[in-house]
Amino acid sequence: VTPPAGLRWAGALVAAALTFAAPRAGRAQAGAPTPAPSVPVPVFAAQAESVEVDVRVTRDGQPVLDLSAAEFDVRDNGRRQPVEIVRAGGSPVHALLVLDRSESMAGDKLVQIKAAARAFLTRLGDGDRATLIAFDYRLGLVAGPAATREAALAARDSLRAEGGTALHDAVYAALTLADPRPGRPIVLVFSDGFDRLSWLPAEQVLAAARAAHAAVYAVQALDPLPLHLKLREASTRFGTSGMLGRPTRGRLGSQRVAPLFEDLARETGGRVWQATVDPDLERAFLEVLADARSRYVLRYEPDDTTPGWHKLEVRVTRGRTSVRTRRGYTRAGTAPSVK
Amino acid sequence: VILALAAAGHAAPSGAPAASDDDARAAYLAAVERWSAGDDAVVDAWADWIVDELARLHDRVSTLSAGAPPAVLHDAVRLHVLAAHAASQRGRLGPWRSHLDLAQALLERTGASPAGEQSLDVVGLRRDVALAEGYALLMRWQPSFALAAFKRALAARPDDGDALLAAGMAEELRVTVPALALDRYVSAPELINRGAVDDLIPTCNVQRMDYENSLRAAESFFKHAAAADPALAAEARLRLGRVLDVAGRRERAEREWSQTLEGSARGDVACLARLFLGRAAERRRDWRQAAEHYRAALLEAPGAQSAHVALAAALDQLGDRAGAREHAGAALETSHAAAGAVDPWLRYHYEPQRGLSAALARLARSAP
Repeated sequence: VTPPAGLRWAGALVAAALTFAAPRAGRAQAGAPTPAPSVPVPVFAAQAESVEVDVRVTRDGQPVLDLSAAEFDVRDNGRRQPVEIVRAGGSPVHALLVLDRSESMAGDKLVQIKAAARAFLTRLGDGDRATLIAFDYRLGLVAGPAATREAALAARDSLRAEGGTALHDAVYAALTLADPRPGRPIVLVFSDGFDRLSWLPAEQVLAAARAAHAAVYAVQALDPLPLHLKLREASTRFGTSGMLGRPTRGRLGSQRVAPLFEDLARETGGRVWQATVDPDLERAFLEVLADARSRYVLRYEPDDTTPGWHKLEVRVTRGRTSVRTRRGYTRAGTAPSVK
Repeated sequence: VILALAAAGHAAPSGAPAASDDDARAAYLAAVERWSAGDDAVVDAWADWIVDELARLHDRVSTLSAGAPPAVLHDAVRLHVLAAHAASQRGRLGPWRSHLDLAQALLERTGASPAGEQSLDVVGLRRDVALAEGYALLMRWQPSFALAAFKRALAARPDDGDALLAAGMAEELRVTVPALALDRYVSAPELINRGAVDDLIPTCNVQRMDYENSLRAAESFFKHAAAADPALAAEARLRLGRVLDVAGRRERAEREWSQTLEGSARGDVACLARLFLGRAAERRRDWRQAAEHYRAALLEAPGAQSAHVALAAALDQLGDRAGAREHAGAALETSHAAAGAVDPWLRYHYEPQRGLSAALARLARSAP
């Protein structure tokens, strides 16, 4: 398909992105999807009666992996459920890396993200699988779905930065494709956290997260430019300070965690990191993997299968432990509201 | 330009060889000829030279040109228009903006073509230079400055459909763009989609009035554009619908989008009308109808990532997980299947690029 004449000049915001070829090349290298290992298919679909829940338990920051099923107190909509432990750490992982390659990530940031992704992918085991999604204003499947570690590593090299940011659409696609059969799905998003050109509103992404199998981890790229300078720059660009709107509490000063990331992590039992420089970034990626590997997978048959939102509470009876898991899940059959 | 002005006795650059009027003309024509033959070195040399040297002399040129013979000014306009076009073809945003600035400054000082000279459509050039500049500013999401340029285009030709549509887009963007610069949770397009324009509108009364005035002005520009140029009517209606939607007049907005579809709109415009109608159906929690609109959007633009994502989300809400996965997967594949294709939703925001190209092409034709 030939780009329209008006989009050819490379200096423009979008036109440059039309020379896009990386995902195609990456995809070719990624190869065909690998057959999924036979892991039980859970969980939140209405037809499935059982529910599987990822739970991470720590004491003093270190994972606790010797708990018995009886030590878990799992409540579904307030009612205690008898659970069995499907796995205690070491589950095969299906990592869905959602990497921001928009213009704001160009240069050093992209180099660092590629290095961090490489570090992450090289530590995947033989049984693990990876799906690489890169996005600017477009979404691109760079490797996968559920490609081998080697295929994902090869495809990673083809990333390059250009274009705007369709963060919501990219995370939504990853959540929707988070197939649990190849391994426990985790979605690892790397971005500055702010959407520019998605079609989907954040509510729909959160709704998808509540219904999905995956835990969402986010590594937020911090911008070295102080926020008050960004605001001043924006004011100048738009020609009127009045267009900036009312300030948001806490915006000035330290860069806060992108609220979408916070919500996604809270809803799915994931976590958010902020990183600016190479060592931070790589460490964050590896912590995601370590976090994902040191989780329990609990299964239970809920006595309430009503479609809709199910609040989930997980406690551990052994003392001095911290528990992290998803806040709940949505059983199919209802439609979360979109304002 | 310096040579031409020098030849006319209006400038005497130090160290420059003495040049006659004929020398200046010959140099100019030779350069144009080489550029026309695709000599990239000339284009680069021009761009670099203009940016590094001539742009800095903008004020000087403007001052010197006062009282210069029309023929010299016309040649200078031609030079800058051609150089702007050439630089734009090579993706050099800065250089061609400088050329347009200079052309604009010179056009303001020139009148009709003198007898015996090749006719120069000064009014048309003023309009197209202003349009090109406005589109460029719009693409950089600087709507207030773009609006000023479009108003210059309208001053040259008050009923020009392109200028009316562009001015409406600038007013529309004045409302939708500010959040893009801020670290907000949601994007401006998202806020607009949700109709949550209150989140964008400042609490200060003066600023609120500014926003409301922009919405009203955009509405007026789009209505006039639809009336002025039937070829632009579909897009003007589409954008009018969005402005009405933002202003909270949702039924009217849906009527505009429906009428867009009842007309001859096809392709991207029809796809967008379907997407907007689908979003409206979602607000009513009518996911089935929303999905129907999104399927229809895909018929209009089969590779549209936004329509695939929208349909996937709607199917999710209907409990069709397999369908949702299928379309989420398709959204990831569209950039491979149609590399170079532009999603209609993206194009909606970057429409100025097409206007810019058209304006520059007209400029190149009108400055032979």
